[in-house]
Amino acid sequence: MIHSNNAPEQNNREPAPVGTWVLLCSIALAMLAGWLFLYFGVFLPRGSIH
Amino acid sequence: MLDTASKKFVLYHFWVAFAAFGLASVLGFYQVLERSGLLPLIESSRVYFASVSTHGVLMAFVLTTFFIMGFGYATACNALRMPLWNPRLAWVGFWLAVAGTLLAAVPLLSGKASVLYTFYPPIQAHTLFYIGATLLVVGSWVWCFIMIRMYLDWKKQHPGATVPLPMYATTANAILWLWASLGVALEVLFQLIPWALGWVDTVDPGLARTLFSWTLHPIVYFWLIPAYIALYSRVPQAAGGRLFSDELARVAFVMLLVLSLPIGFHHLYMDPEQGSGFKLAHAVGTFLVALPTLLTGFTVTASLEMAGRTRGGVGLMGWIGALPWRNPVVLAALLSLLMLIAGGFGGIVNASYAMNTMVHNTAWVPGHFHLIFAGTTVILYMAIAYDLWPGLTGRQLHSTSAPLLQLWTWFIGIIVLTSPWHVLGLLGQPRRISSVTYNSLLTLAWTPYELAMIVGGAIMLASALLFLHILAKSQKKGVMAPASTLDQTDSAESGAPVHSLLNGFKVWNLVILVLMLANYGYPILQFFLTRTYGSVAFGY
Repeated sequence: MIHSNNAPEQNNREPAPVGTWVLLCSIALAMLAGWLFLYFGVFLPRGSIH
Repeated sequence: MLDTASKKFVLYHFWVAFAAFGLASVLGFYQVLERSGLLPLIESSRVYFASVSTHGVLMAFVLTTFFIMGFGYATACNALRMPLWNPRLAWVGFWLAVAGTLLAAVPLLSGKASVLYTFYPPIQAHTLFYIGATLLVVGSWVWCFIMIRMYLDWKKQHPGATVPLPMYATTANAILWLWASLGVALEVLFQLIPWALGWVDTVDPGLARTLFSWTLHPIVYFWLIPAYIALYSRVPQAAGGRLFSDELARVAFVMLLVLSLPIGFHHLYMDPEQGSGFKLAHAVGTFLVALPTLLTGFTVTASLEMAGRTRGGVGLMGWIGALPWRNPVVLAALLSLLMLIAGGFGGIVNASYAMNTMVHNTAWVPGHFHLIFAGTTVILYMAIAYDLWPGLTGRQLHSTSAPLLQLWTWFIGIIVLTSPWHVLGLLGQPRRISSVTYNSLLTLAWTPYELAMIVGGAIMLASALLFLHILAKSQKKGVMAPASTLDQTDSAESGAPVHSLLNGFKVWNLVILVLMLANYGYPILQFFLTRTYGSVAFGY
């Protein structure tokens, strides 16, 4: 069963956590760049197991 | 609420946990020194593997289990405002776990259980080690039962009410551990103990590794959930704000419970006994379980941003500087999140089915799990101890600056230890070796990284000893805490109505059952449908 929630009214007064979004998006982009570097820059150039 | 007897009971758990932590820290420093080859006098592969096995068991099983049980009892009593249910049974669980630890310690310390903390067969340990490990797990099951019982009793007494978030998460952790420990329990009871006793001649390592993988990934979340509870329920208040979203937190805990269980095959990517289709299914699940961690990162950071702005922080990032960095709980949370970012990245590399071949069985892997466990998780265990200590002992911490120094040195030590460990893995250094000096050009390139790791290990050992000193001195000689600090009843956003799916576990247990049958059903059944070949024992 879904209860009614009184919190949204209060939440609407809170400013959006813009700093958090920017920070986390930057971290996600850095992680993606790191993964791509490891995959294409380190892993694939090592070639197949021999 | 915690009465005097329950406080003493929780302190017993914490001191067993931290005594294990202290001993394991000393062993850890010996290991990083021994393997470097810089001190030939202390080189001994026999002592090294006895030490590394003891270190792993103490850190991964003893520190965690006792800390989680103690913190769980404190959380249940504080969050539910209920006395401990059946203290006599709780003490039975405690002493079972202590007896198990002592039984396992005998073969560990005498070199008869040098099987590392994963105890993969066909390397065999003395029977006492397996029996001791079993008793430790049985003791933790008592804790699980009491947590679930207190949760159900509270729900019965408060029909329709929302279970306070810390208790909801603690119950999720108890359920998670019951599901997770079933795999290793089957392995130990039906394979390892009969084999160690000589009732059967051989063991099937493929089946054993499959059953252990059932436990091996969710156990990480069993360790991590108390840290997440602190992040959600203590950190926003300590920072001077409030939790950004109670519901997002519940979603994260439910996802951790459901998704962390059916994904253990990422530990078996290179194993021949499982097919690539099942491995791929587990790989997808492994990426999915990153989502609740991302949710946690978002919710906690947003909570901190709200607190920082309340404290006068302006601009896009000005709130970070406005946070109370001199509060141990906030400092530990910030450092923990930093390490979670780095450790999370390493985890994504491990989970990548193809790229895993690059780091498989290399030094990268212990580098990763030390960063996540000793870094992200243990630093929050420390913060929780600092936070609870005045309430449990009735005395304030003896110093306000020493905990900050301790947390910073722990963070610096972890970074200095684990960064070169990751690089060594990429350079091809194998893990689980007692010596890294082969006098070849390849291993000569490892030397600077080994030296850095010794420095990191020394900093961590000093920090660990300082941690124990702060707790012991505060308990013995700290100033009596004012009465206002002794009531640690949790007020973290409890009471707001939430969807019934985020207030119970019936549906989620069914979902877990279906996912476990899908991801582990045939992979285990196949061992009984096809002819397999066992292995004789290797070992002491």
